[in-house]
Amino acid sequence: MKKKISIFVAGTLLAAATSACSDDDNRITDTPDPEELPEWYYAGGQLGTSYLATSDALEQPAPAVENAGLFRSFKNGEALFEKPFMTNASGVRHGLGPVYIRSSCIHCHPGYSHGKRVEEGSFKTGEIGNGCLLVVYNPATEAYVSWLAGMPQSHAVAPFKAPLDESKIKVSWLTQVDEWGNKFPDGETYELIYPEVTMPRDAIYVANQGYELPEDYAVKLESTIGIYGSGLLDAIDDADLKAQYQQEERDGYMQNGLNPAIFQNGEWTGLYANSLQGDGTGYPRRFTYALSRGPLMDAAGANAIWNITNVTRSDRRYHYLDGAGTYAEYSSKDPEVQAGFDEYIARIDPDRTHDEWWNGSMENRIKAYLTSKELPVEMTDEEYTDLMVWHRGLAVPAVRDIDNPEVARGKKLFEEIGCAYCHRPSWKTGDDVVRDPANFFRGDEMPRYPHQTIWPYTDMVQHKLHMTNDIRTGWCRTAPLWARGLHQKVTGAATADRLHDCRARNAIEAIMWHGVSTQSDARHTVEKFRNLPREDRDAIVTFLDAI
Amino acid sequence: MKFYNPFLLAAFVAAGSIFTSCSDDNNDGPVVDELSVKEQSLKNAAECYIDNTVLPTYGAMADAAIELYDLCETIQQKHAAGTLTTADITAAGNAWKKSRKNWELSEAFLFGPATNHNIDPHIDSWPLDRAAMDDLLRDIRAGKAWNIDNNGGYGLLGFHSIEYVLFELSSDENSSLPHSTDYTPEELVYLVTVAEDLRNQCVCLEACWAGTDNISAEKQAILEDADLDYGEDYGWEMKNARQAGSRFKTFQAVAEEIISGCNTIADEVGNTKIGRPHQGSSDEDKNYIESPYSLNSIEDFADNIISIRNSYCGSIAGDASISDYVKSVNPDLDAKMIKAIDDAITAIRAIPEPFTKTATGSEAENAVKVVGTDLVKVIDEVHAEIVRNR
Repeated sequence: MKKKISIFVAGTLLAAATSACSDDDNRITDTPDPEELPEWYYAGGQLGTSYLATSDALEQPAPAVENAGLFRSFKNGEALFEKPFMTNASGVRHGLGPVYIRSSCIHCHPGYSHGKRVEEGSFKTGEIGNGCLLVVYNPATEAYVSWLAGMPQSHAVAPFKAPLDESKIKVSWLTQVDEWGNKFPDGETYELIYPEVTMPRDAIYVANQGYELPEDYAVKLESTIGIYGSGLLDAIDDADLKAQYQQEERDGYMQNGLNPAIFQNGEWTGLYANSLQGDGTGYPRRFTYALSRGPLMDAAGANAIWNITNVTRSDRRYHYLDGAGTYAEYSSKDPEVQAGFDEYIARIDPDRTHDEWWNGSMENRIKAYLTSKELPVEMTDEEYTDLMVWHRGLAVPAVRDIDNPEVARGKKLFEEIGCAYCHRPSWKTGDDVVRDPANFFRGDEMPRYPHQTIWPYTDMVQHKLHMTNDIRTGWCRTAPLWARGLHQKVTGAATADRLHDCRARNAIEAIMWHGVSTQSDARHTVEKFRNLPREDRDAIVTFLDAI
Repeated sequence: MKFYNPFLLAAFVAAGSIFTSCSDDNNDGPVVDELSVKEQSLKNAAECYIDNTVLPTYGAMADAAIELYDLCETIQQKHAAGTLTTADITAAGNAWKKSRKNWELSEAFLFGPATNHNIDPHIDSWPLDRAAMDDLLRDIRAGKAWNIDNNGGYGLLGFHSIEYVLFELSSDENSSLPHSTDYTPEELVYLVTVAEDLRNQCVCLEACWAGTDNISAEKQAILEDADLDYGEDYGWEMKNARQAGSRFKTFQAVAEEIISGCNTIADEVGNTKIGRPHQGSSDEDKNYIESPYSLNSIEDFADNIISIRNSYCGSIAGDASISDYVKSVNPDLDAKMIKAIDDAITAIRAIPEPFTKTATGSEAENAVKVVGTDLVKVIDEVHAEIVRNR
């Protein structure tokens, strides 16, 4: 990439030398000298930054992709991300189902951003835009229920039926008034709203088929987050991550402390390991709000391409279904499913290679198919590799409006009032030896980002905000702020859709939600924010939208 | 796509300019409405771009989609009466091609409404979800409740679903023929429903760029019946950058968006539409061909590049355009861009049809380079020129 720029610049220079007779020196004095550009302009460092601020801003390959000669692979992966999968048993992007959450990745990541805020009314997942998953959990234990998949499916391929009937689920938005009456000392006001989800029992397929739900349940919304730049976060060294936890533990500034399930007394307490596919080696957790994942190659994207669509691949020749096995059990007994199964299975297994799907009682045949660990491979290893090259190769856009002095002023204020403690501005990546806990990838097939100074504005640590109708467990990894300001531009959304369930319609709402509760780890900083003069608050917002 | 760091570029060029500037006849002082010369030039370009390129293209696409829907209804009625002929299917196929051609001519402006309202995936997803279609036809036959979006995706909608019902391949698969007349009634229920949906989406797309008030009364009625109106006037927003109500802060941002749209489609045509079937190793790569029944791939690719030309140069002689601006500040780059577009069209047209059988040939190999690498690079340079402060 660097070489290419040099060649190109030389060419342009030559063109300028021979023909640019109308240039006026005075007109270009506004252009910052690259020598003077602050380091934080390059959000993704030299290897991970792209330079486009249009509606395609989040879709660009990092220079590291070009450097590694992986552009074609990146493009193939891009198509797998953008285009819908089909229920066909063969052909381009086949294998959707038998039950699924969305038919494409972009359904939840419009414009490669996080999803758009869900409107009041029913919960619809058929169209691109709604990036929320339903979190169905036991309110007493805060654990996911076992009788629905952790990411519940609301679509099915005939004759199977959707585990959830989403038309019966309702989302409503309620108003929150904070102790300051949603008003700054200077009189400026803001509004706060949060979602509430109701899901009646008759929306649940197995319950309708006679399954006795063993527990009470509650439902929340949880949005996807941006996918760009996750390769750069993956490149942060484990030791540096640990040092951040150790520092925060020593500082003791957070009234909620650190999540004891992750880190305590200077050591990791809960590492990520994959014993099913990998050798069980433990890795520090770094991805998803819940920190449910470690290294990127076995994190949310690698999982989603399989479990969102139920498209199988060589290392996962089984379906994503509920842990308790209720769906397989009740589907196999459902007379309507039984009536259509012969035709269905003839499409999936035309050569009758699996005896157990063809012989025996219909109930056993259906159950054997749904719980099989030897399903036909629907996504090739090459395709899966391309997808992960694309995933790890997505760049972060350079900071916009870098020559606007308000942006730099906002950055200074952001740091002064304490936002930057959790929204840690910068990290330096390590050697970036790519690891895969699932042992599918060697690592050398991926773009890499060694020794880059990056600007994600996250400490990668979980904190608690104690928001009304908060995220499940209350622990939420500090969201990277880079490029969040581009959400409306890249999606066309009417609102900025910040925070884990997109409840904040602009940056001010997002900030003020951090301080609604006196128990919030961010309370002290929000108190400082609300006492700033308006022009200083605005400068912080300008900065947030620019980075 | 590889967009260059504009500041890095600007500094080098600035250094160059110091030595080579020989005239200051193009001062950047305030002009009418306090726009700089650059902003005024790009404002003029935006106006022609909307009025003479985007709106006529989407208008023609919607007109043909309305015609297509009417002709599909005719097919259904004649089939029921036992009077359906191949000529009826050919007529509908021609309307499909007309609408489709304008869609291909619009692919350099997929940003904005086509993407934000999911109209692009809604009408242009492929391949057809044949398995879901079989299930759907069974439901129609059984008199069950059904709708075309019940697969939770886009696999049963749009141009390619209709293509499957209106066209078929000859036995040697070298040519596309009108579909035989032996439809089932369910297939035609499906055809008419999808054609109506396509019509609604095409009209909606035109309305989003033109403003609903500015489309014909017939089209307004279609949107009202379909309950489909986003109340958006994206064309106005592009023509009125810098004003309240427009999401564009400057006309430079408008031009960046237009050029980014050109880059996206050049990249897709070169590296995916041609590149994937050409270079891929798997069967799925080789079958990665969008319109397998109408066999119009080569002309579709060429129309995509013409869409770039229309966006950059304007569609009508005398149109103000981004080309005008680039020419005023960097005439060599403008000439290079126009040549790169022409070269791309020539390289594409050199590929023989049917593309399904020629995708692995040397002509396609050349087109991958000329479109996917060469043209994309020059568009990047144009982008860098537009971003540069002048």
